[in-house]
Amino acid sequence: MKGFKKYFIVLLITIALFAVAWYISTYLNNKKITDIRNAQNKVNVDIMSSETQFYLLQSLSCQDIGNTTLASEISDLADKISYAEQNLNDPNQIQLLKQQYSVLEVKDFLLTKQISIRCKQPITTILYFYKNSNSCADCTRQGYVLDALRQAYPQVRIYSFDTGLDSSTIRALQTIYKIPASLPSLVINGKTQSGFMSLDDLEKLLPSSVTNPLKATPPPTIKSPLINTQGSK
Amino acid sequence: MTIPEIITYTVVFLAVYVQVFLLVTYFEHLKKMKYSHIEPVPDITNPPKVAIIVPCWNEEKTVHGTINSLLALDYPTDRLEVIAVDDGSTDTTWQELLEYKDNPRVHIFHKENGGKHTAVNFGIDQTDADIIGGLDADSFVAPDALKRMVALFQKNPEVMAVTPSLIVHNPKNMLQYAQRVEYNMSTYNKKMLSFLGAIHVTPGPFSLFRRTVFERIGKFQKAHNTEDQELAYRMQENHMKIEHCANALVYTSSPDTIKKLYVQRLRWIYGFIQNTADYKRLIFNRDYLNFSFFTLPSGVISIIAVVFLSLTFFYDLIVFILKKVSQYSTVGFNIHTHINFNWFYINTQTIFFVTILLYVLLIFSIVAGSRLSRQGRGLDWHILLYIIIYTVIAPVWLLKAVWNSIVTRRQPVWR
Repeated sequence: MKGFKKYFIVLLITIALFAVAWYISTYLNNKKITDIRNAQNKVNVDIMSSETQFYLLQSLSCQDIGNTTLASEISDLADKISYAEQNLNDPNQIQLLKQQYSVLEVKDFLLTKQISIRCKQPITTILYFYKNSNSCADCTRQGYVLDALRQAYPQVRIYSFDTGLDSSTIRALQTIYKIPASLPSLVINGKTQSGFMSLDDLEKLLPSSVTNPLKATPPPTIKSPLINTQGSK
Repeated sequence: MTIPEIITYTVVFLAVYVQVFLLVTYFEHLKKMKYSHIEPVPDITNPPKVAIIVPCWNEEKTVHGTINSLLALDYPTDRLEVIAVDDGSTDTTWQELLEYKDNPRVHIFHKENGGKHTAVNFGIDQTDADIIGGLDADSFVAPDALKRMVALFQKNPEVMAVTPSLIVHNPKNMLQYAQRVEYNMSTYNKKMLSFLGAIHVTPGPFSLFRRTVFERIGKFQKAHNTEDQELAYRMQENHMKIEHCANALVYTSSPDTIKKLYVQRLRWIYGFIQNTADYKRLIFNRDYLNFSFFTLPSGVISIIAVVFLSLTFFYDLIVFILKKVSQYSTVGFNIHTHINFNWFYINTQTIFFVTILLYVLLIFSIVAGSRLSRQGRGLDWHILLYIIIYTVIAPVWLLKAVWNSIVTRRQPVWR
């Protein structure tokens, strides 16, 4: 091939190779989105199941009430949404999933409280409010602490809420628990704590029933909701 | 898409473009190369007189091997002379050379130190040979190399210079094995550039020139310690054809420590940048088609690509380390590492597949280069070694060379 013809042909070949790579990437990413959508459907079923349990709670004995734990796929969903948020280019879909997930968390939180009162089972709950932005450096550290806490005390139920998410449910929770503008904030068994808390500080606030975690038989727990408990990316 | 992402895609696109260009060239000329690795040594009729100049500076340990390999060349003895020039060595190089004083095929000279190119120019002045070449005193020539190279001169009168394939001599450590892989890839690149008429360097070890080259465009000039590259640029500017003889092998000593390799590569890259700046008039000049539209831009692109990608890599690495430090200082060492093998977490971004493609093309060039230079190693694990070692250390000398070129303007030392 003479002259610039070869340069042009090579350009076409290179563009074609990139197009194939883009096609494969798009195909697999769409599969991932479908995967999340399927998980999302399961989330919807879990939400309905939670609601049903609320009603059943009125007429059943405590022994008849099963664990309120959300299905294990919910935990996977949290991981997948977190991963997708950082790696897939479909922000609208991801935001919707996060909003739905937050609603699910709140429903589980309410159900847990109901069971705790009705059956006189003390269950420690922590609501964690964070912001996914560089303006909240402590949110990142708080995320590490809560991850460590969850691993050490699996019976503690931790729910994370991204305050940057456009969610009326999260806003309602912020109002109810008087969450200040400066984050991170934690609500431990109904009491609001503002600012970063170390693992030691948190352990001191845990009731004695959740000490000695290695010997305890942990009830299944919800994996920290969302998604990115570290609170930033 | 963010600006760093746009730059990354652009850089990778250009890198793939360069490799595809070489690949297309490879398949264009596949027939010519098909049997080059088993091609018999050609018969030379009316062999031209050849002079090989050996510039020596403190080469007491290797100069014997170098000269003896030249004397052992399969070439009519009365048509080959060796000119050894001691360039003011401070060791016993001159005493070693004196052992050849009674050998009629070896002419020895001593001069004050003036740099390698002055020693070669001195040698050129001492001979009336038709073909003149040089051989660094740390290199050894395969016996059949000269005949193979001279045959190319005889086959095409327009060929003004012929370069051989360089092979790492007797590699002993991982760094040298990695360099051997790199040299194989270089053979492939050089051969493709040869087909394109766009070779940009005539390496010191055993590149051969017609005498008319020096008569028409002058001898070696001081050029940022990369005089062999400057001469190739000058030849290209004067439309002189440079061929690569892939199956003519020259074994060269390679740096055995990272520090030595760093010094060598800093000199090469700095020299490339400076020579390209000196000859910037040739870039994107229609008179020098492939040299100006492919060789020089692809060299510049590769430097920009490595600099940018390595800076991005180091930035990400620092962010990762800071995150781990923050995590450790907050909650201590956390042994609960979550490993998930779900396919969902495999990277499926376009850049991932394109990067794999780029690596496949690079590995192809290594294997093809290995075959062209009769190494025949194919896919061996040293390719992986090469990729790992060079990914880590190559950005260092590239960044330093760019820094020296733009900021300090300090010329790297020879060794």
